[in-house]
Amino acid sequence: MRRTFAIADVLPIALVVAVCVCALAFISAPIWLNLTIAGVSVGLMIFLMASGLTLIFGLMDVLNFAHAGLITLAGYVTASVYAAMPGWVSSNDLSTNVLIVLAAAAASMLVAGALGYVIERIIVRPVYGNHLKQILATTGVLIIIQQLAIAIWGADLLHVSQPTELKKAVTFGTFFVENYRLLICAVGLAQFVAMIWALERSHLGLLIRAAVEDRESVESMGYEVKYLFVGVFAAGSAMAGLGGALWAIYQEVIFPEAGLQVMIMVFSVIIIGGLGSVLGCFVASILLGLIMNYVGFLVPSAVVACGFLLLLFVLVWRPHGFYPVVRR
Amino acid sequence: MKRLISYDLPANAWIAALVAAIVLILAVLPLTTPSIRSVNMAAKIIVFIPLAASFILLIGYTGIVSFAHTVFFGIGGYGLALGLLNSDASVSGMLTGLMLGVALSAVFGLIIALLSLRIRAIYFAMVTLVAALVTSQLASRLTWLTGGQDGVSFDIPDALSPGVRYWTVPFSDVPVTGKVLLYYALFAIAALSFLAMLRIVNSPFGRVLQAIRENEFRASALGYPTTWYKAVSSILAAVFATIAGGLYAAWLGYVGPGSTLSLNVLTDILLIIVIGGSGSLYGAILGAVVIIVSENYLQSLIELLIPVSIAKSPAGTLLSGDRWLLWLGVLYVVAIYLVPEGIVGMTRSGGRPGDRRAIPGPNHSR
Amino acid sequence: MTQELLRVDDLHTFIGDYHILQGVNFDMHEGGVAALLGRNGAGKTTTLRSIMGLAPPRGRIRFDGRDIVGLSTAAISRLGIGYVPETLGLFSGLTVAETLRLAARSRAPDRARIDWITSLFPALRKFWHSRSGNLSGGQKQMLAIAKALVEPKRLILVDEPTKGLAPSVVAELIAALKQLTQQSTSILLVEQNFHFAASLATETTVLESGQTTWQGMMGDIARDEALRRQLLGVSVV
Repeated sequence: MRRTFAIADVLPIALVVAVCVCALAFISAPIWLNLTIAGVSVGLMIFLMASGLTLIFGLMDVLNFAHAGLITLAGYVTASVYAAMPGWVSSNDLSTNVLIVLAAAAASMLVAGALGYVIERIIVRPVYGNHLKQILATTGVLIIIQQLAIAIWGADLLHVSQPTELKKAVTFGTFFVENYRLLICAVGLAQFVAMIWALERSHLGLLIRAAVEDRESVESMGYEVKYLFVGVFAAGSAMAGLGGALWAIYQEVIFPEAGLQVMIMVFSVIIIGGLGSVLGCFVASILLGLIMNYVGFLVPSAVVACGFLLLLFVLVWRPHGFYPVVRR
Repeated sequence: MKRLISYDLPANAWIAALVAAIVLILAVLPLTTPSIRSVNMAAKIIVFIPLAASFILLIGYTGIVSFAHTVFFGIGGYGLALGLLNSDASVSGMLTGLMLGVALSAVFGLIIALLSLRIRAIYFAMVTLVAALVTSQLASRLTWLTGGQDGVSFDIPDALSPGVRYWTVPFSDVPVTGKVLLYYALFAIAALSFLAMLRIVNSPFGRVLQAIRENEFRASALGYPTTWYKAVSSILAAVFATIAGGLYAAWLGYVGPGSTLSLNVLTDILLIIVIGGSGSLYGAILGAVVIIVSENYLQSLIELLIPVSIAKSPAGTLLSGDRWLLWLGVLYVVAIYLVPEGIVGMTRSGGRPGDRRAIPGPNHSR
Repeated sequence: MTQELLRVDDLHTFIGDYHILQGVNFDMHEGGVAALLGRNGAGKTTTLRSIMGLAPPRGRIRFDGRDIVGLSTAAISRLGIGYVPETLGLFSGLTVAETLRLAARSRAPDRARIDWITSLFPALRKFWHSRSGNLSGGQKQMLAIAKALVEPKRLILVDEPTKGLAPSVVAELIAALKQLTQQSTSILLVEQNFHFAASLATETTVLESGQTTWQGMMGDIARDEALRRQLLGVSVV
């Protein structure tokens, strides 16, 4: 959401590069390359799950704790889509495999987006401006979504395997990358570019940036901001659906607390990036993905804590994250 | 008597009577019924009252929204458990473990307070939630220390164990075992903790906390060192939550990530303070009773009300007794909007200025 | 000229628990300039905000024969009322061009109208691609008025446009606003600077503690110093 670049804006990207270079000192080059590519794909995976949340926060100053529930729900919708078209997953045809993933993602986006619409209308609209109530109420929605998921799909773990061809890897000598990771990278990058384009270049983006700064002024110009808000909320929720579907397939499993588990990563990257900043969320996601992969290789038991330690480090360094969103 | 509760009666006579009745029932329950289920439920209520009250101390009186409260609850539980394990189940080991836990929590409480000063409230809420989730995962993985996912089972000192029989209550024939003694130890410690917190919020110190919640800038302009006040209240809240964690572990003879650190515990606390009301510590008592009794009996109640034929049908699956948490969640969300001050606030008219808004209003701290 | 454009009847507005407007009445005519005068805290800004639907009022507000109480701010704006708040309501990250494009509610705004506006405020053309956050105080004020005018409006509400502006800029502003009225846009002006108000307005309403205390022609109050002193206090020069 900015055009001029200062040193402060380049530093986070430099940090990502520095982490890569430092890791090379500890890890042999071929393994390092594989870890780096895997790290970027995990980072893009995290970005897919987190970007909707930061978008919603950036526009409406609302923190939706039910985001975790939407991610979980997307996983279950994916399981249902899989169940409806069983042959497509085990098929040896790449295009069929990609289609089933896209179908699951589309269905998840639809369900999550619709639910996001309902959440904004009923839960969030009365409590704009009151963070505590937003947090308490959306936490309640999280409980409700989890319980609904259990009621519909049961409390047990469901398998959502990666389609046959997508499991296979492309190899060049010692370097290899799974097709599914490539798919995630493509979708993640596409979403990032689309979001940046929409915010920076389109009329809608202009409107969103203006409404972030002064809602009343935008209304005085004749725009119904509440429709804009509910639209963005639904869009951000649909993004959670997309991320959740791809994540469930990536993990090959879905269970009621799945969304909550990823919240450690999701919250970490949106705080690190600067709440509301899409670019920040992107850079932070890649950084976290890389660090998790390097640490996971070097000290596997430390993976759980590394996201949190990175979060604390960044908060001490820059209390408002990489790219603070200025408002009012 | 009035001095004991720091002259802070619930504002409404009905609420006061309700609180008195609850305390009375909790006090005599193990002597009148042999039902293990009821006594376990009462013990959980007794533990969750100081736990929720300490959360109210933090959120309702200081306006610090921290989700890391389960961490302190867990530290208390694990502290007590490890103390007992490493001392052949002696009382001194138990207390040492708990005290070490309290000390550790105090340090964390201070760190949390300092962090909350440095970053925006909304960031802070998220960071503490991440901290709670990470702690829960760490406890599940550091098997050598915490027993991992399975947790730690331990022996309680003999004098407090169910095997020891002291007396039989004449009119109800209920045996008074070591477990009953443990119940009363819990009751006494929880009551003392609650009264201490009541004393704190009604002291000049507590008034300053409320002032900080209402308007931190103005409080500091009046010359109060708000940093210091926030730090102390955060530490106090941490300490009381730790004690509650120790009590819970002692009662269960077990501690694990699920019973102390999981999000379920956090949800319980949130349910309690929203339903009970976060504007007054008494909200913790009423909320804990409503929520924990619901957890135990809502399922049976739903099963009683909804015929099996409906509950078993695909469309009626939402109405089956297993879905009690779903309905509690709905009740919780409805309560946030329709009864924002909880049960305690429902009948409170006017009251003290600081209690007008149970949940702090628009957050302008950005 | 004499057709009634806006009529405000027994307007009551609450902000939180405070009863800010306690019966405001006035009317203004098509093509005219009306001034709302009064001391600080008399309720002038709240009256404008009530008309725009930003502070939900009770009572009646008729605009062009239509009751607009209860309509959303956006709907009121689309009926043809522009608003220039005291805080200007600009977007510091958007350029002059982007701001006007947004205000025009169209990707390709009417060129002739943009040209007309930039002829009113030549400075805007010069800083066309500057972010509004980097403009000077006077330029910001002009952009704020321009923003309210990009879409043709029947009436614009302008809140204290001269605040903090240099005298030469004020003169420029008077010239621009006078041109506006010739294009059949009416202006409802809130102003502390009496001379500025007197040089533009024909009709005047004086508010005191949220109530209308006087309504009449600007000429009467401008000529009669005793009346002015009585209504507006000695602070008015």
